[in-house]
Amino acid sequence: MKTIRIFISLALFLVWCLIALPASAQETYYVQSVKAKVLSAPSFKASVLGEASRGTRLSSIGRDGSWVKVSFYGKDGYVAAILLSVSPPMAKHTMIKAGDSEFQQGVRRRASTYTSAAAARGLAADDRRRLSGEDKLDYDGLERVEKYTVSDAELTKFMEGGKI
Amino acid sequence: MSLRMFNAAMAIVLIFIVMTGVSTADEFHYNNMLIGDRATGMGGAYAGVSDDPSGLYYNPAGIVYTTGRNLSASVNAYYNTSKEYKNVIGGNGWERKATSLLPNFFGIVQPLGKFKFGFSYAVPDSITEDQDQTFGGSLPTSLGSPAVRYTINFNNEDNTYLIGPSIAGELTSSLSAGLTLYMYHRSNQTILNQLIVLQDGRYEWSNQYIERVERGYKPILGVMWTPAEKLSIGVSLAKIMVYSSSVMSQTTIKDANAATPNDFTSIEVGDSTRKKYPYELRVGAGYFPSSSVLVSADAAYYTKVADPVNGDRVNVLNLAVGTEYFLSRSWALRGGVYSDMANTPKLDPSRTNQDEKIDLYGMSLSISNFSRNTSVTLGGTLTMGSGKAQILSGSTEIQKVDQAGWMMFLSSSYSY
Amino acid sequence: MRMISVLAFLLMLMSIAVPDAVMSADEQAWRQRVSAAPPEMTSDDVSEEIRFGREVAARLIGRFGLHTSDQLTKYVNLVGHSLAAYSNRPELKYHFAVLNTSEINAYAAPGGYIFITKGAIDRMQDESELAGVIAHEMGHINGKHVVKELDIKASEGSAVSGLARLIGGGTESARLAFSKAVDQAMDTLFKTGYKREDEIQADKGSVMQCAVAGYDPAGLIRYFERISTAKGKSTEVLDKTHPAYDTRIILLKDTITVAAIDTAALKTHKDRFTEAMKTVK
Repeated sequence: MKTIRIFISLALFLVWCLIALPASAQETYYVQSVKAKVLSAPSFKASVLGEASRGTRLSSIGRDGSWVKVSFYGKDGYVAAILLSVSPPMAKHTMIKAGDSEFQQGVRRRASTYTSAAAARGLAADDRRRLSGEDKLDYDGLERVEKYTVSDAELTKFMEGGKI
Repeated sequence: MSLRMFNAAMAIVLIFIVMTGVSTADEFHYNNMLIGDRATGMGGAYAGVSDDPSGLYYNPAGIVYTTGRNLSASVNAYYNTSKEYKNVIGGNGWERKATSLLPNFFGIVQPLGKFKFGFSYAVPDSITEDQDQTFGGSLPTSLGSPAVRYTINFNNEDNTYLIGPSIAGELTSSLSAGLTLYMYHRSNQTILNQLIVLQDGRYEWSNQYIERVERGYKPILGVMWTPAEKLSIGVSLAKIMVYSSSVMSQTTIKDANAATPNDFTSIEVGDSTRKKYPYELRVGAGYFPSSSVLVSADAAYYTKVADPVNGDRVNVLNLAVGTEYFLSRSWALRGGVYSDMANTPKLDPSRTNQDEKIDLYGMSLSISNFSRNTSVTLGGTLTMGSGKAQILSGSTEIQKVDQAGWMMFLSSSYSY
Repeated sequence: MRMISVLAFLLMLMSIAVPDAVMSADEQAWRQRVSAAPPEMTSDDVSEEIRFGREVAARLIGRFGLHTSDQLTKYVNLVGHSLAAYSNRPELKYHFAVLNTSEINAYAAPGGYIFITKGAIDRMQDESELAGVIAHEMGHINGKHVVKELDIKASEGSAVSGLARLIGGGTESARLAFSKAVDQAMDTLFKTGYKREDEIQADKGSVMQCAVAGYDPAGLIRYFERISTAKGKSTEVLDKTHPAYDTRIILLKDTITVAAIDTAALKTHKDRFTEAMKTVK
């Protein structure tokens, strides 16, 4: 009786393995780009089955190089892997930014505290070299880069092939 | 029913089918305790996986493939076993219970240059066995008169400790090797106290105390081979080598047939014969079909040992199959089945004082929760088996024995 | 017993003697369980990545200076943002700028900062070449190569707030670790380069991203073919930190073939590029 119990449990275990193994290959992907074309084959020459917009959840059955094979309205489709990710798209990140001048002062304050503290503790030579200014920091330039924007209208026109 | 629900239901069904007890440490089995949180959940089928601190015990070559920088893991376990010997004296059965609560594994792995360095502590055997029974009535004896009272107090404590470093490195892109060098320490204390009061007024009383301390090494040499993607094969060889052993036994007997009523015989024996332990060859395969499923199988072979002092041991083959299944990124289920066959020879009905032979089968199940750097696992094992024993000294009677036990453990692992 | 110890000793010797014994946990990536997979980036992680990337960006701008042409900046931003619509990190706001140096190179800092040098743009002949270079850099950011390599993430349990940053945040050791990581990032950009597989991933990603965005991915190939013949110090850093041009060109061509991209049907926008360059000098 006991041997039978063991055999049954072993058999169940094997059955479970057989079911779990192939099924576990499933993975869920989310579209990250604004839009993603779903093609009928892993090739740009293939016909387009449709377009999925950002946030669409796609159930995948495997990868094929740079493509992900997904299930798209019952059909097998392929989406470029660079447009997908396993987690849902995050909202546009906003950094809580301190006022310009305060920020600059804070930065300067931090740098000088660090230098004097470092000097006091006699940091290793390469740390001192690093602090001496081999790497200049341009936060003003950085601010300009960060503030630069292109309007949505301009971008749309550009993407549609318009002139600058 | 989604696949996940089906799997969870299957797991529960499995528990009820093989509902038994667990066996804890004893000399007559080699696979008493499973070591390490991941390996234990997977029934000890770990030689082909071994890619975390649990691997330090099963196959140190695997730790080369630890992902993450530094890892540590610890396991705390509670064991409970009961053995029932049927029809020992006058139809009465004997019961021996054992419990143990202890941290039974700790291991860390750290990269060191081109190698991975590890350190671990393992308790592969730990038992506190108790029997306290008194039988009354009219019990048959070989002393010429039935017994009206039989009292037995048996207490056995046996602990084996392993502690030591490991080192592993890659030989080629598909082959790695590792070595664990454990210091081995075993201490065992047995007290057996028996009183037989005969119907005719005589009585026999015996008290036996045995203390054994063994010290030695247990090197574990392992290799791991990756013949194909997602498939890993591990082989490890180990042997306990005792360099010092001291056994002291003290027996006091008040014989029923003693010349004078209060005549005691006292024997003290000391022995420093170093016990021989077998070679342990473990071959395992791990198959990693996806990042959420892992299946592994192990075969562990122990060579036979000729030991006139403690009793010969036959060769043993233990098998184990285990699996790890991730329900999601933070929850995983592990399960396994394994065998723990007796290393004692088959009982001969014409001989006396033979060691018991109980073949055990076990299953394990655990659930783990993962967060960014840590994981916590709760699990347990159930073991059961039956066999034969010759409990009464000097008698050729063979009793049937049923053994059952369970173990629960709580473990954590940390990656930093 | 003796045999075992001899065997063990020999194995140890072998493992030390084999010169190319490299930890190839990467080659056994299939061992990694789902729990060990890079955890989903939290908003705090992204904040930390941007905070880190800004420091690297500030150093890049400090080292070379920004090119002043508003027209060129606008153009590069338009090309960059049209590619960003096809990025898999919608949480990042990408920033594009031209560095004022005749060196030929392009840089990406974590958090979405992409820089192209004036020297590189001077060597380009159409918009798809510019798109190819931007997409390659975007590939490093999308692939989180620096973030993963230097393990940039929010410390567990800490709240990243504007106030904390003003004061200087964290302990002295956290600040030191942060500075050290910034230095390492700069070393990656100027001395050691990214890991080989990261470069391969970025090149492959460039092909796919350009194709999906409508640009001819062969633009990057044309650009490499042209600058591989450039003499002098202008490509010194690029050469030091990237795989050889012919290797990259072979890989790019292969990726285009395997994905069956019809390069003829995709745009190079040569006219628009030439027009944009006219007003720059």
